Amino acid sequence: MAGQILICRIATGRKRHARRLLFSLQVVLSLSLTPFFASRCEAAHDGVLGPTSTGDTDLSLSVPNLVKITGVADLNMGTYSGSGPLVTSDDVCVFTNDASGAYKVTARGSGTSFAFTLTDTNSHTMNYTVRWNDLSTVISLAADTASSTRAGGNTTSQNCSGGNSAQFEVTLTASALLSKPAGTYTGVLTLIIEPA
Amino acid sequence: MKTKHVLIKGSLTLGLIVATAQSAMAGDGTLGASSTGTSNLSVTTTEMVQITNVANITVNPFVPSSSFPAFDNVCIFSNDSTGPAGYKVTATGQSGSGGTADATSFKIQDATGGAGHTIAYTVKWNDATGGGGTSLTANTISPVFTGGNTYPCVTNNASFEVNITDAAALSVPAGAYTGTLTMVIVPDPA
Repeated sequence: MAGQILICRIATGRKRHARRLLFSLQVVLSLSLTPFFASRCEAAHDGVLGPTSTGDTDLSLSVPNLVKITGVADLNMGTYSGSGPLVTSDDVCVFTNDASGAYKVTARGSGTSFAFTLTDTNSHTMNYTVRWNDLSTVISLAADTASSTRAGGNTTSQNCSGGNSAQFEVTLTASALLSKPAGTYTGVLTLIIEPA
Repeated sequence: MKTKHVLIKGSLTLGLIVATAQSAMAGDGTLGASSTGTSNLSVTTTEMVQITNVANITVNPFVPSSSFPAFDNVCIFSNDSTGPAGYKVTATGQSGSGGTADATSFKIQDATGGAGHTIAYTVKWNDATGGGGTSLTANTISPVFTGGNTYPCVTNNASFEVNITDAAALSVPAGAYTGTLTMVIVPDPA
């Protein structure tokens, strides 16, 4: 881009010389790049000396796919009562500037190879599972694996206007909870949102 | 000048505290080509135990020198945090039905009850199947036994044994003698 601008400026001051230079560059550059350089330089125009002088330039902006997840809360699942599974969820906001609202989500636990595990101070590990709800479909997530394309990302508000557009859910089965010595188990769940 | 130096140190300390606190909290993602949020998870489990596969012991008819001892295999689960699924057991007997627990002995009785209509029995506990094991004193907590730490408990890993001597069984009138043996399991340490 810097080279392109430089060539265009040369063209304003020394048009004939610069055009010859540009022609030479066009020969050297690959065929695919040649039209790009040429069109860019020809699009901008300097004004001429006179009572008024008008210059014009083309503006271009390429906006990449951008995403954002907010509203992520800690999940303190408290003390297990000993009955049934423990299921806890959190509403989150997923924003994407993909007009379709599509995105993918990857979940990583803090266990070995990003496994979904909680650990106590004696290195006992407790497995849990993670599900993702895009408010249309609920799917199970595999550790460190991008999901299939999810829908429903908010396309207009980075904070979903204070609402939410998805939910993640953590489940600890009774077997997982009780098959390890009593204690406090902790871990970190990382949720990575990417454009679809 | 000295005062300024002190103030700067105070600010830095405060800043570090804030940064530490933030790193331990849930985090939202930032806008970008990908966005990462983090959630800290925590759960606490307390010590729990469970006895399953308890069956009634019915002896009918009583056969001297043969009917006893009788035992039942059971499954003990414990998530004891200090040892390998440790637990203790307290056994309490209740003679007849609907009565109160006997504080110091294990007995069964017939419909009449009272002296001459009561049979005493003994109880043993084993943290293996097949009966035998350690004698239990009524209403007294036992030494530590070891159970299983996989939930739910599937494979029997303990047994209780009831024994009535021939002399005791033959010293009362013929009839049906009943009672309830209650076994209370607690984690170790309780």
